[in-house]
Amino acid sequence: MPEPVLQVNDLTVAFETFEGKYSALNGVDLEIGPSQIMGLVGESGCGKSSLALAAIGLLPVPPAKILHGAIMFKGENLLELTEKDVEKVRGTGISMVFQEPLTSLNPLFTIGSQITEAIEVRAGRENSGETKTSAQAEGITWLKKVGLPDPERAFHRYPHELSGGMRQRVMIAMALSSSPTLMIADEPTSALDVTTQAQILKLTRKLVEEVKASVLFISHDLAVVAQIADRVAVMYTGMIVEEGPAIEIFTNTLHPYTQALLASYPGKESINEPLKVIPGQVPSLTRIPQGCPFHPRCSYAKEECRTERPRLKEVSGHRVACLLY
Amino acid sequence: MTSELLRLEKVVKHFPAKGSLFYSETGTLKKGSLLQAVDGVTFTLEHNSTLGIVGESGCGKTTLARTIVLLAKPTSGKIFFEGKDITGLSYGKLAEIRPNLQMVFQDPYSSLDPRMRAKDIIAEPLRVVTKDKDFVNERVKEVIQQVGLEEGQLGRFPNEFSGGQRQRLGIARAIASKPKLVILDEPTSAVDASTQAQILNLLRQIQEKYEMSYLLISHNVDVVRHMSNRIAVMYLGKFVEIGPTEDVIKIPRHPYTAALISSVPKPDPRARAEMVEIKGETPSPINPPEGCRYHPRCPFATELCSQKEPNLDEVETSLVACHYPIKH
Amino acid sequence: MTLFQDRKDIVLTLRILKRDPLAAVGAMIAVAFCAVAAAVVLFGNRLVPYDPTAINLALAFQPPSIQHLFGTDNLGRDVFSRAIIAAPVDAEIAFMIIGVSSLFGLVFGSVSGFLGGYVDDVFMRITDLFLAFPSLVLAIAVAVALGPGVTNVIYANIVVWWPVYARLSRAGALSLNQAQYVDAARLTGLSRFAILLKHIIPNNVSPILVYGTLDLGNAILYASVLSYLGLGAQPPQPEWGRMVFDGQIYLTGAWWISILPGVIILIIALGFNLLGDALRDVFDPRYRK
Repeated sequence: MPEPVLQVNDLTVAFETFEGKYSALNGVDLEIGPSQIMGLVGESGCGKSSLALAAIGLLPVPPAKILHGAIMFKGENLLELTEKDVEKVRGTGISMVFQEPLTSLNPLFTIGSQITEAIEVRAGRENSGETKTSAQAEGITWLKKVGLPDPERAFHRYPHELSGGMRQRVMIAMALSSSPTLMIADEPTSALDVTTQAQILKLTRKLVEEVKASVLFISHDLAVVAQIADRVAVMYTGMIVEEGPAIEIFTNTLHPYTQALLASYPGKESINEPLKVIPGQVPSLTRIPQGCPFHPRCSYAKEECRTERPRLKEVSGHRVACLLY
Repeated sequence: MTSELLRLEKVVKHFPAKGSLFYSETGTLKKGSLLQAVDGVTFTLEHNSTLGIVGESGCGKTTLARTIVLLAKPTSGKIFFEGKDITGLSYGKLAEIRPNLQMVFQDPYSSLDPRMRAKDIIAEPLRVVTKDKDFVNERVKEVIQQVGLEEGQLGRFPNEFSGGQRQRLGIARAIASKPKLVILDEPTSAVDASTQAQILNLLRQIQEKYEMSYLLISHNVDVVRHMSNRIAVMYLGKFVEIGPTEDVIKIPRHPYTAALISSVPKPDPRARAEMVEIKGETPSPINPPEGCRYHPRCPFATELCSQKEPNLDEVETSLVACHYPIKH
Repeated sequence: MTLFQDRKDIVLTLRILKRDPLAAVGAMIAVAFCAVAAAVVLFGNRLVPYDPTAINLALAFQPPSIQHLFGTDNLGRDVFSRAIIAAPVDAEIAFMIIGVSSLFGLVFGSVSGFLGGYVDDVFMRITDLFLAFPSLVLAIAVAVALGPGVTNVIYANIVVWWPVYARLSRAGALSLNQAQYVDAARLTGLSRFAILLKHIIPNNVSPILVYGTLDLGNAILYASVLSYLGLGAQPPQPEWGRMVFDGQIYLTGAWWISILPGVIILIIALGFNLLGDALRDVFDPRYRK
């Protein structure tokens, strides 16, 4: 078994807010292997963004409090690193792509200067004797690789001069040009048109394979994740409820929540049939139900589900947290 | 008396482009500086049916929605509602048809007045047409239950409801006057997948109960497919294809439709189908391309496509605006 | 019209006041000021140890002591008593100025922003006209023209104050015009006047409220300045700005006659500023998430 690139062990994080204690993550266990794309799926409020922020060291502590657990990356616990060490990891091991590139690209600098910066960071780590001109040339090559039309001109443009889709391509170029071990992408295509999204997903798959990076791809959309992920983890109220190879999750779905989520997708029934609905609502993270957090909405709930919290268990090729198994 | 509920004829909505770049020294608008949001849309909608309009950002669908309900006046073209020409009506005269023509807005967080209680929000369209307090109260109670909320919640303010519940309030407000046509502008784009399913089911229930027509506008192909009898695909201000839902989805004839349908991700890792090729990105609606507006991105474009704009012509069961519609 | 929509706003305000000591101080000062002013109106001279108008030359120029907290002035009057009795004067002036200006500005600006076009252009040019003058100079000019007295000070300041509220309301109305719920109201067939009254103006109140609170401090300053110049409250009515003026010839010797009322003005203006800052946080939509 190859050594995992990222290992999240029983991570439990809470936020102290005006409304009370907000349990963002409740014992998350996750592993990402080398050159593997892990898709993390969950609806809003399930804690997936908190996990991403924790991994990249951007969790605002306080009001967040790490109650328990660790995130292991290259043998170190990311949660215990100092600010300086976290910066080093960010530049040389983990890179991130956010949902809204307008806020993550510096509006005062040209695209070119930002991408060469990313390249120089990698060069610094590798001591590969990269010069200003060769970094620039490489930057332009990357812009071409991510499909920007006229990369030489784009190099000298400012972020606001590009469209949303193009900015996101630049973000991916910046994230991958530093040859990261892990790229974390938090809803990278959610703000894009469906045709642009399809182009970018295809592009990302290709480039990630080329650079041999692992990816933590976070999305609320199961269909998007199906397009890109090797393995899929489903998250609900701050814990992983099902995890395994993508094909397994979609064709041999085990957890009732995942089943219900898949069933509520429109596009399969004819116009006259109502969509299958998950009763109730996602509970607020300040009031997670006792026992299995999904039990109030689960059509298979048993007596034990109310008191006993299920842990992830190996079942026929993938892991499920459900008392049915 | 026609059976058509709504009819649009060559409706155009242009905006003068803002910014000094587009104006000459004497202050006149330079040529080609119009934001051609909607550029000649024609279609009809029957009673008790749903037309879905699908398109990506910049295609003009929201402007079209606003123009149909006359929140914006069309630059040219005509709109007929129940056979009557409503295009040139003044704000005051329009008040007569308002009870029959309503809209559900996209953003549940800004479509409800934060300072009004739920009951007043729902009652507002009714209070404009009648002074009968009892009637209004009864109808409000009836409607709030129909949308799946409780009478006890009528006294609350919008910020006490979740996004999905707010959207239900918006729906309640829209159907209070029992309209014949409701425009749904991205009704589920701002909510989760599971809430979306609930809202879509609710909308169908209401449609069946009241026999109303919907004009559903969305960028989400799956939603439009699930809800509509017919689908129109919009690109840069024009309809490029319009026809029965299953035909447009399964046998798309316009290259853009084909690219759009093939881009929609399916929740199945085995179906990583090859996308129909589409080059580049949607151009700005200011100064759209000459000839067929889609030609710069179309893999099948020829000389003709860059010179002559195709009309919506009949191809089997649909209307397609393409010189070389895809043959299946 | 509900200004605080529910308990959440009040709770949030209290929390901010608890966390931010400056805001709490500001709130306390503002509340104290209003309480004192109200008390004086209710109880009059019975509230204070000495008759503020009683002249007693034998007691003149006493420095601050236990019997006379702020000392006595050139006519033997107790400065502390005079300072307390002066409270409602500035309170009345400040609240009247801000109250009328903000109300007028709210309506003026909302109409302008909502209707747009010609109306907006004309209204804004009028506003610009008033804003073109340095405000204090204009206020003084109007006050001089009208003559001395508290009411005239109020009128003079309203003339100067309303344009800022009009501008603020116009900006608010412009963005409210785009709000989807305003579109929804249009779709019900509601007349434009009704939309303005029911939807635009009520939702435009919050920024005005915040700005107004901040402004109360400034209004008190302006009122004091005009009184200092002899345009406002007339003797024997005590007024802080007037007291500063009357006492300034004795500055080198009996400094307390002039300085202490001045310090009061400063503290109160500061207090309202701090309170306004805290209120701004409560109403800032980003903070509320």
